[in-house]
Amino acid sequence: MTIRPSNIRLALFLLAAWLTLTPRPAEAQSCDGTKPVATAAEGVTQVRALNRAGCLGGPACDSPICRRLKPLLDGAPNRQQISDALRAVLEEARTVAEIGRDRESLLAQMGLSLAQFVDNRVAAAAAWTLEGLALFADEPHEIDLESRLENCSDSASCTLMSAHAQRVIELATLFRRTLVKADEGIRGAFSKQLELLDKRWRAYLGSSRGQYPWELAVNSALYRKTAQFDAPPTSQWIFAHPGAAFELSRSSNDRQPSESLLLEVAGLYRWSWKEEKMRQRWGGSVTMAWRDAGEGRQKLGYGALAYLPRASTIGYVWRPQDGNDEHSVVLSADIVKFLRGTDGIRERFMGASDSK
Amino acid sequence: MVTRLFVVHGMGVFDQAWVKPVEQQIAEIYGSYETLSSEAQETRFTIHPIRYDDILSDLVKKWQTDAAAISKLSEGVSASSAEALVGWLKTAGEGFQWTHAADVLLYRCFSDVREAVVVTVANQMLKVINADLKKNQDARWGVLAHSLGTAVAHDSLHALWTTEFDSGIKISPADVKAAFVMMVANVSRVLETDADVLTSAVQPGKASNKVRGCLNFLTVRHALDPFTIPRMFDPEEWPDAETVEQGRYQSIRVNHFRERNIHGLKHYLSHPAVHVPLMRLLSDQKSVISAAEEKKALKDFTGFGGTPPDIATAELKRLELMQPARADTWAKLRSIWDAYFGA
Repeated sequence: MTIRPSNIRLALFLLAAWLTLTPRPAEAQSCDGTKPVATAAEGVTQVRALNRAGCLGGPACDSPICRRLKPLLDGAPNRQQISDALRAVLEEARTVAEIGRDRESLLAQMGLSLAQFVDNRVAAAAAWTLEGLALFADEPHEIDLESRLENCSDSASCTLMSAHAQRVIELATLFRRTLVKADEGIRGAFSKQLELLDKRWRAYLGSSRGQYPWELAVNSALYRKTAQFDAPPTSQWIFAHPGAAFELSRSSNDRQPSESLLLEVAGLYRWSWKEEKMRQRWGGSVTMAWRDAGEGRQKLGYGALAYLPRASTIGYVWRPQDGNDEHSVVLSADIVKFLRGTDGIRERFMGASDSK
Repeated sequence: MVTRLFVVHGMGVFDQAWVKPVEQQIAEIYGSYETLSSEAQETRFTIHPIRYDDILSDLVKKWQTDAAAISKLSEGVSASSAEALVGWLKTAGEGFQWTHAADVLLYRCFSDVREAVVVTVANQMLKVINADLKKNQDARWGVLAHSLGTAVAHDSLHALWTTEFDSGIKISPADVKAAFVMMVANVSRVLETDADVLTSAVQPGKASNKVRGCLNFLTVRHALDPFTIPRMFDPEEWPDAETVEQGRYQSIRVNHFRERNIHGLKHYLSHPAVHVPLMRLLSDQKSVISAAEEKKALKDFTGFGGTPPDIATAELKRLELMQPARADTWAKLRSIWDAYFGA
């Protein structure tokens, strides 16, 4: 393949355009902490600004140790890599007063040995939290960088103190970030479990058989809640539960389902959980049923309901009537809808009802 | 480092956009302080609303729908017993009793509803915390909860810091610690159920403390807010004298009257004694509002605002008359609602 001058020109043009249009990382400029400061206040402001911008051990940090740890903090490190990273930060801290010079004694003050700290990560990530510009705030080994900065007297000492504060914050932040990173998997797993619980609870309150306040009170009283996150129930008591259904009976003139009002006296509904879905739902109840008998009269019957999968209900109702007892099949609306769409099945079903 | 502020609402109806007025008020407060507003708000903190009202309102709405259907059907069959059972639910979701009081009742009395709320609140928070920590392991967060939300936030955070799932998966305050928890119109103690609010994991402590969940804890109460009086959250030297001395626990009292609903979050936040500590914690910098600025803000803040003094005085007297006793329990809240909102 020959390289034509026009191709080279095009390539150069594209390169120039890329260099011009691609924004340079803002943090590359704002992370310059070497600028001399004239006063203590300037030093404090400088350190704060750099820290807020994530330059001091944060995501925008571009120091050699930050560059070294960046792949680890952005990736999915294993236990050994985390220990290596902590060791690397400790090594880096060797020359920094408070942390490095007396690093063993600092860890001792934190109640840790080096092995515990690096290999077992006994130190809590939160322990390295910066509060304002104070590290280990309110501890005997507190490092209050703001107070120290405020004690500087001239530009040279303030600039030096600012650089020192930046270094301490950078290393503390790297310790913290590495320790937080080490538990990322656990937090993720925890979050997944919590998400599943959330979905299940919403399914319980939204997709199970509706609970009226008095039923909710009964089921709540039976539910054993602790102060921790608990799983939703796998059963529900039905109690004085009014509902609507359809009845099919031989006495029905047009053999059409008639509306019926139910009052489920007591029952139980059970299920199991598969992920966030309620599965293997079953249960039943004893019920009373009212049906309009025309001319302002009502017919009261007694029966039983069975809960089928997919929240459907089917049941049987008996109405005693002086030697001419009425027997009906009770169906939930979804079943009736299904039957209405399948006339043949309905006819066969009606026949079955007549034979009672 | 930008602080994430979770705002947890109180009782009432809260749609998806409920946090807008809170955001607007916080932006106004932010703009009123010179040093604070010298940098854009979003460089210091962002607000993330937490919503649980959908769980409560969906439940109540379902009762209303079902009750209306049953009542209609019962007319046809003259089944007065069914009508008697559900008739009172036909107005569910309407009026203060259903929009506010029912929230508290459902949360306090129905353990399964409470658990659903606690789980969803913690889930919303943890998802954001995890996403933030993934981007920056140094991410910082705090909680601002109001009224019923104080009990909800407390129970959610306690469970977050103490639950151990199967195979030992747990999150410890030693690793995921809140920079602060601010409870405004704190009713967490009167609505206390499964965890003791004074000994739970939602306590302030030093960064190295492995069982206390936050670095700072602020409880805010209006002197005449009747909801905060029964079983008042008002511990002294809590969780211990050392922590109080370190300024990690602050009990803030206010007594201004700028609008009738002194229980409202907006009314609380308007007071510099409330919003100055909040802004400082959000910025992780005490000097972001200087002592002089704070003093001036407190001096300029008039207790009655634009309310005519005679009206304000009369309202304050009304509030004084309805004050419950500290020994009262949550059952007293019903009569407080009637007096507070009914008058």
